[in-house]
Amino acid sequence: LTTENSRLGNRLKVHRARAGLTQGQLAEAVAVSRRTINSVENGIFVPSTELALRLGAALGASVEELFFLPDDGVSPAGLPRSGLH
Amino acid sequence: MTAFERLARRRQWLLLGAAAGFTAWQAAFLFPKARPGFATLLSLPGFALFFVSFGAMWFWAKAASDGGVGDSLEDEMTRHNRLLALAAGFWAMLSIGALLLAAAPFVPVDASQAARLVLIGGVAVPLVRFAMLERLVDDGE
Repeated sequence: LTTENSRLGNRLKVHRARAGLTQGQLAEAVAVSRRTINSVENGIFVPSTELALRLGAALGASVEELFFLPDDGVSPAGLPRSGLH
Repeated sequence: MTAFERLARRRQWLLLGAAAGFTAWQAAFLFPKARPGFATLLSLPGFALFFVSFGAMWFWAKAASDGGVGDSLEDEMTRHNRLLALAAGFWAMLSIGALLLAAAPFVPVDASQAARLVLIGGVAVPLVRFAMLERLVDDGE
């Protein structure tokens, strides 16, 4: 778990929008608060492995699709580098 | 404002109230040469504020749990913020202890006063830091 200045990128917002869920609905699905989802989307808070897996399950995506390291040259599975958060 | 937001905001104020209460309660005894009654005048309201704040926090936490928002109010990020706040308390106690040690050769330091200062740092700083971290998350929305 880390906060602030994290190097971990994420495409949670994209996948959430794709799934047609609001932050509140996703928060309810993974049993956290809406502000936690908001903080994860904005890169303020890096979730635990458990929460990342729950997010993946709720959005029908793998953890690698949701989270990535921006500097290692590896883009998230199946997604273009451009527009990465 | 949702029930969760209302309870989260209330908790932030109660944390600050508890920190202020504890500081007043303990700081009152830092001035033994003050006017008679000064310590009681400052420490009693401080003591009351500290315990009322904690009691209210416990009450609202139970209300949140009964209302179904307890899990959200105590979710992963909140627990993480609490750990960060406790770490801040550790550093505060360490810093105050080091400062007192450095000052000891030049200024007579009473043991009980030194202990109170360390205690204030260890209790009040985490409470304030936790409230600040929670507020920062809210403000980021």
